[in-house]
Amino acid sequence: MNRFKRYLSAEIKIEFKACLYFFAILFFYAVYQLVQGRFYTGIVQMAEMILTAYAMGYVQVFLLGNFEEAERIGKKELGASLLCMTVYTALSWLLGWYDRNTAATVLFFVYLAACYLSIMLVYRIKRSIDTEELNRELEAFKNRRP
Amino acid sequence: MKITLQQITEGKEEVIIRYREMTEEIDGIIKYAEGQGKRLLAAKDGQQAPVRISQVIYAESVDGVTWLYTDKEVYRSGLTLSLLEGMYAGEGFFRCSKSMVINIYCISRLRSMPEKRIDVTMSNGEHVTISRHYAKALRSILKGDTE
Repeated sequence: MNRFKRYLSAEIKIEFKACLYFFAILFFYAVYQLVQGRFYTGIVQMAEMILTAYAMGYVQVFLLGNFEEAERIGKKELGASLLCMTVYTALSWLLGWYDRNTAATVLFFVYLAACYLSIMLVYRIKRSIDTEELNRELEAFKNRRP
Repeated sequence: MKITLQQITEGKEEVIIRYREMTEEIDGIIKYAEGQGKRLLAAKDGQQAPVRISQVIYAESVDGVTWLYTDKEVYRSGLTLSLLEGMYAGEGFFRCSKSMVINIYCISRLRSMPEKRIDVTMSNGEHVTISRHYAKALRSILKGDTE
């Protein structure tokens, strides 16, 4: 049962990441389409994006130690995010999401860097809020002492 | 409530509570006095010594032996961690891992860590990392859900 719970917990984490990155990529793709004067997104492209994000979720959780949630943003975390950004960008080129447009691909890489940095910062802020809450509850607990 | 303090030079320290009716406040004072005085017997340098529960910062089990850590001393206890946790949960004893029980009242600071773990800084500066499983229980206790 514990093994199943661990699997389920990892799977939820991966799916959460897949959704997060899929929507980030889809946003950039939608903006690119708009700039090109196209007002639609392809189902095939969207399927490629979600599958890529899902696969990358596995890589990030199992191979790269869930680096976005790391306590400090060090060389290891920056290296891991650089690797993910490169893989996403390379796949976007190979799958032709941005019509193999060099400028759009470079912009996509920069956009991904901003996404990873934002996500890492969000996790840090979340932990900082949680720390404050924990210490407030600790003080309240101590004050409840009979 | 009138409070009378009397300093003594010999004899045992005692607290006398004179009351008309047993109120929640009086009961609290009694529990506080009892809690402060609660002691458990432990050994130091082969000698048995009473240790105040409130002074135990944490207890650790190493190779089947339970050690009690106060601010300055380390005592050997005959009680298992499960017993310590069960007997003194009301005094703030909390099982934070398979081999450790900490006194919540001796925590100086808590820090949220990745994967919902908690880093605990005890009053003696010692750091303890609580896994997600035990962290969930600690959060419930702090919220007052279970004690």
